[in-house]
Amino acid sequence: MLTLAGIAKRFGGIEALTGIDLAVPAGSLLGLIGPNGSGKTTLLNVVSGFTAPDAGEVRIGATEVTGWPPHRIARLGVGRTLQHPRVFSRLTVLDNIRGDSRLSAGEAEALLDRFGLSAQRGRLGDELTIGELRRLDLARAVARDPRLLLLDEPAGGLTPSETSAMADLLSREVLPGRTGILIEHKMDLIAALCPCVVVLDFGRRIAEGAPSEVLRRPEVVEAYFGTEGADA
Amino acid sequence: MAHDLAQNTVDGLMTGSAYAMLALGFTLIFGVMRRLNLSYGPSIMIGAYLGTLVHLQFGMGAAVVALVTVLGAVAAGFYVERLCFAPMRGQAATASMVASFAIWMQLEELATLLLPRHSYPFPALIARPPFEIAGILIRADRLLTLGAAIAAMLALWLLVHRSRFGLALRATARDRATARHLGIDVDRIGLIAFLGASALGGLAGMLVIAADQQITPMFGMWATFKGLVAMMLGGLGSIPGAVIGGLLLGVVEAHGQWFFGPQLRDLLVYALLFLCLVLRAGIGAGVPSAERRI
Repeated sequence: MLTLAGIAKRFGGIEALTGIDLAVPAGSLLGLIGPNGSGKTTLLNVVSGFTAPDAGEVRIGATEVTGWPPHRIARLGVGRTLQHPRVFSRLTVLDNIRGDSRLSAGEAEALLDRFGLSAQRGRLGDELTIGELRRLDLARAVARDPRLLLLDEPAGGLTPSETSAMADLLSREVLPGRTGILIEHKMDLIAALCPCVVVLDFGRRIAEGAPSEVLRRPEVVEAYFGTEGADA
Repeated sequence: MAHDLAQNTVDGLMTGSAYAMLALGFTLIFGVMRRLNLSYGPSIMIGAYLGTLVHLQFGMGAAVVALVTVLGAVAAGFYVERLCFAPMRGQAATASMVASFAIWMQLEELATLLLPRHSYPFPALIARPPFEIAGILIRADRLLTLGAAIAAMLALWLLVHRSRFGLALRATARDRATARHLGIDVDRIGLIAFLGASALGGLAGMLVIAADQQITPMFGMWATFKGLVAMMLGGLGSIPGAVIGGLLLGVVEAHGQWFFGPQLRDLLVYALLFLCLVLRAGIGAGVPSAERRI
């Protein structure tokens, strides 16, 4: 469904991504983990068209989309949430959902209901709590009924109970029938939702496998905690 | 005295409605692109010159001339957008502004090459004497301008606030990056807003020139100046502000001319603009800038 081949990206003297190969089969959710600055969000930016790679190829299904602008990739069926949710602060929640998604008012209302935002429908974007912002960001991402979802820390900044509710929401409303990549620092969430994870460190892919197995690998422990952690 | 005040106010509102339309065009471009198009007036002038050419060469009547003027302004606007705005999307806003100033000069040269005399006749849309309502003299062509302005403002408001395109336009005006992330083609939205602004300016310019029944190469500067001042009086990037700013400019000019004469009239407008800038006001003062966008 999603195939990345030899993706490389430099920002000045920094190699943000180096030779990343990745394949996400249709209908599966791949966890993408790694320490801060390892290149996870940059990789999602490359897939969604916000950052053009210096080298490599991005394919969604049979279509090569390398270098396409973000709106074309979104219209191909790619939904995305952001690490720091950006909503239109002076538009209502309902208008935020509708955007350019071609949803009717009724469909938008139904979507808000599914994401527990009906009570907030008339509130402005900048009046929402972080939990509501995360749910609005998710609802917007699925508004076009995308076949590929790129989720960047959907539980970032949430309390444990909110994180648990987010996991339910993802399992119930967002993920069924879709292919996706999930970036998350909360490993319980990754373990609960992703059968497979890829670990990045300094822009390179260092491990891949089932979460419980990968998180025990010395190179992964070292990436997160340094050499002392790996030795312990 | 009271009659003079009333007459001046009515005259000012009618003239101001044309300023409001010019300001709306400026506002549409500034609200969506956060950039200033100094070639806005000269683009309108090119449309008007093409209309005049059709009138002089082929003897076409007012309706055809009006259509050619509006379409000519849109074509000139497209040329300016492709040359000064589309290639500079990722660069500083001043780059587009300076480029549009250079194109201003080019368009003025083109106009004088097309029609080299200082002024040319432009057909009137309505040729009938003024009529009187409650002692106030009203020119039919100015009333037509007021009616067209009200219709254009309503249409623009409905487009921006009651259509899917308007929602995408407002989303783009508020946060281009997020709009792109949601699949909105912000460059296309910007181009359509630019062409819409040119059409609005072409309509306003055509009504003003038809009422004056003559066109000169100074019209481009005049239209840029009036539209810019009206927009700034109303607060940058606000649709209601542009309307209020245009009407206020018209009324202040009318009263200024009556009480102080034509030289001091413009000084009065500059003083008002200065006051607004000093107070960081505009009519939309006190409203956070994000709210004032489109």
